[in-house]
Amino acid sequence: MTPSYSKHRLRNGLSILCRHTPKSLMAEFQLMLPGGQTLEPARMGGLSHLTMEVAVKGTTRRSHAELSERIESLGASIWGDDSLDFGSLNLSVPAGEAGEALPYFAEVALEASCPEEELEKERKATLAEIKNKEEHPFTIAYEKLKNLLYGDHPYGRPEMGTPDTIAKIKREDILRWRNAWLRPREAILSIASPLPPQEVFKRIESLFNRPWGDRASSPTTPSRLGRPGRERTVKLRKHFKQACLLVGFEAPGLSSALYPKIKVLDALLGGGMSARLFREIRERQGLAYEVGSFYPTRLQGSSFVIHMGLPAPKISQAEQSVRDLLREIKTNAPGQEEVEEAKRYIRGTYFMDHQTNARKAFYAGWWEILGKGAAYDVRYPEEIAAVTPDDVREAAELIFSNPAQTVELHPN
Amino acid sequence: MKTGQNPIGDFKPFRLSNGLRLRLRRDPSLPLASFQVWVRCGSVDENRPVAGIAHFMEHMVFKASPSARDLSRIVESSGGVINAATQHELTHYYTDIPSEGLDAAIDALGQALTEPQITPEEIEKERRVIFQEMARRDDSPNAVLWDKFMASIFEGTPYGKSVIGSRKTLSHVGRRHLVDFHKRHYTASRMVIVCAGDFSERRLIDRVESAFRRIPKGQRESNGSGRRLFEKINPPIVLRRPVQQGYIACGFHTPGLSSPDMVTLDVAADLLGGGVSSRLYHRLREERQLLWSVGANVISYRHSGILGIFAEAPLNNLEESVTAIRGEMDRFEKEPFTEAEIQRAKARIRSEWIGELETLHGQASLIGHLTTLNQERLATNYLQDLDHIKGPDIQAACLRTLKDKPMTVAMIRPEKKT
Repeated sequence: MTPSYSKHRLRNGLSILCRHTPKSLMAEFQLMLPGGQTLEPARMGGLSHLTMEVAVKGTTRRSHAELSERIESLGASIWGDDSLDFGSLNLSVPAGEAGEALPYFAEVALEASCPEEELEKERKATLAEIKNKEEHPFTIAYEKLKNLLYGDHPYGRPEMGTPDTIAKIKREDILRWRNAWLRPREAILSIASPLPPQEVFKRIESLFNRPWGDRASSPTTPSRLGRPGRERTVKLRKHFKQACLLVGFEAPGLSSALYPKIKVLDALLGGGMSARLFREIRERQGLAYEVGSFYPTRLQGSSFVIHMGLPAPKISQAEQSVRDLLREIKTNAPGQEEVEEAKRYIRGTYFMDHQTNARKAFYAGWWEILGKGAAYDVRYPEEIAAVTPDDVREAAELIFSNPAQTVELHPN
Repeated sequence: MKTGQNPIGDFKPFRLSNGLRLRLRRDPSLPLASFQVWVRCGSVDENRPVAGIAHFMEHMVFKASPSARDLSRIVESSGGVINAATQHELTHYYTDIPSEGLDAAIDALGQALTEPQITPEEIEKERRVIFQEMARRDDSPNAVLWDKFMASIFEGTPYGKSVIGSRKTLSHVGRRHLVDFHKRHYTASRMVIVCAGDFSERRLIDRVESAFRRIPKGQRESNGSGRRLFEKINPPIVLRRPVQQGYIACGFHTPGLSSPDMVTLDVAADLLGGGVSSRLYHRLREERQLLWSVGANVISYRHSGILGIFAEAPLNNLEESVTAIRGEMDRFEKEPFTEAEIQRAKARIRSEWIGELETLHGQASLIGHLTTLNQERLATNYLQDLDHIKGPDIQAACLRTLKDKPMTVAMIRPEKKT
């Protein structure tokens, strides 16, 4: 797979990445912004989320109602996303309607009015979403685990903020945050479409090449990542029928040379139905329906998390099995064949996840905004291919020597 | 994209020597394939004492045979994914895989579906796993609401039974039940195999023939009786759970996939609750701010279906939200949908279709689903039919479905304080 991107830079500094996909029928435009929840001040947790919700609901030219009618009449949608290390504004549209939809997208990106009325609606909806987290066992356990792993760092804070922080956010905060966040020099517009790239560039240039954002302000600098010093186990009790067990370890982030090695370790231990955790916990012992691991891609430092839903009386047995599996992989390098299988699993699923234009635009923009460059879309599978069994053991030894942080969520 | 253009492409029809239907679409633009097996068998085909056996059977198919590596390992070690789902009328097995692993995946899936490893020891292990799957569902308000809503709107019919079954019925399932169920339902006449992606057509047909030829022919499938399901309407169901917000499901009976109203009702559902500018969303969330989210869609089975409305609302607005939903469902009669509304709904549906069909998996799923239920025509004609729908068609379909029809309601609200 050798995708090629045309690159372009507007005079106002906005970088454009364009992937030409002649056979596809959808056009995808993703304006990626560096930073996100990581840059929020602690007293304003949830600011990025609320900003992205409100930023697409009305412009200086038209109300949210008029905007949504016009966009939907083209079969298009425009929405905002926020996460820990980046945010995005997105347009998805049938290619034939892209010409008509793009001015609305530019309007939302450059001239959002963030009306007070829409802020109040979204504030209520966000408060409801925060309350609603109490209905999801995994979310409760994972928020606790993140707190154990990262402490006060934004990575450890509750997603979408707290009722207190959300209640205090004002329209001025949203506008200031938005202007500091959406700045052409730092942003990347990633596009995947069947339209001729030169035509797309021209159109984008006519719509986006003017000053926007606030050059003077810049988002806050994140606090330093804390490190858990000792093993901890937290037991929570909630009303659920199923117990939930999470075991997490501090792990290096994207900039580390270990990144691809830990990805292979993750696939081998908990990536699919043939991974070690699934085979041992579900297939051999019949303890859990859902079991696996994940290693999220993070800029400032990540974590390696093992998770499962199981009957409460089996938690100790499952914890012992997890300890045994981790000791084994720390001590003995896995066989060449098992590592090759894990690598093929990662490469295959990564490749398959590039079928839609939305995902093509996402990957190019995402790697770019995270500082790896769009070309990492090709290099990443190559780095995975180069991982050896000793690399996997080395990664396991490093990560699983860190103090384990365990969250047990028990039924009442 | 011009209206009416069909993004699904041409699937070529073939048959194996045992009569099993095969649909192939070669697309070599990426070295990938989606290979899917659809079985016309689901929870509606079960005997009540062993309810949940169709889903149990799906789990057993993934069990390793003593002589070979298990199915998931064969697929995942080639960089593919494999999974399955059981529904009321269908069980769906699929693998999405780099082309180089396709042959091995076909062999393994053929073996697993022809001769699943149904041993007492594996049954016991899998029963424990399914109990955990049930506990997980019980912890999800949406899953609980769905089961109760279906039980109410389809009371007295097989569609009212939950797909997963109960602890009681699952405890009854033994080896003999599973072997009988497999023998009766996993037959060529009930199966459809679909493959989309990069492969050589001739080689693939030979491979599938060799892997699936031992599946017995089975009896010729009828297209069902077409009788309308029992339409008793129950009073609203209120479930008490430790929830933070209210969950609402409302619904009306629809005639199902075989009806000429099928596409028209999809447009009606989108007009009512398809996007931000749809009537329910705009009026109830944006203007009146009664609820947090609301959407409507048609869920179609062979000869029956539901126009369902699903909403989440603050606890003090539940009754008012249900009344307001009913009001919006009746409004079409006095305020017919405008040309602009209809045009928007069609544009949204068309985009959704194109989006779904961007992946090989999406294409194979659509063809597999509709072919298995003998509605293959819908896949190729859907967007053309959509273009031809006019305001009066929608008005007429809404009159038939909604006017003076009772609305089934199920809700979840918090437990009473003691």
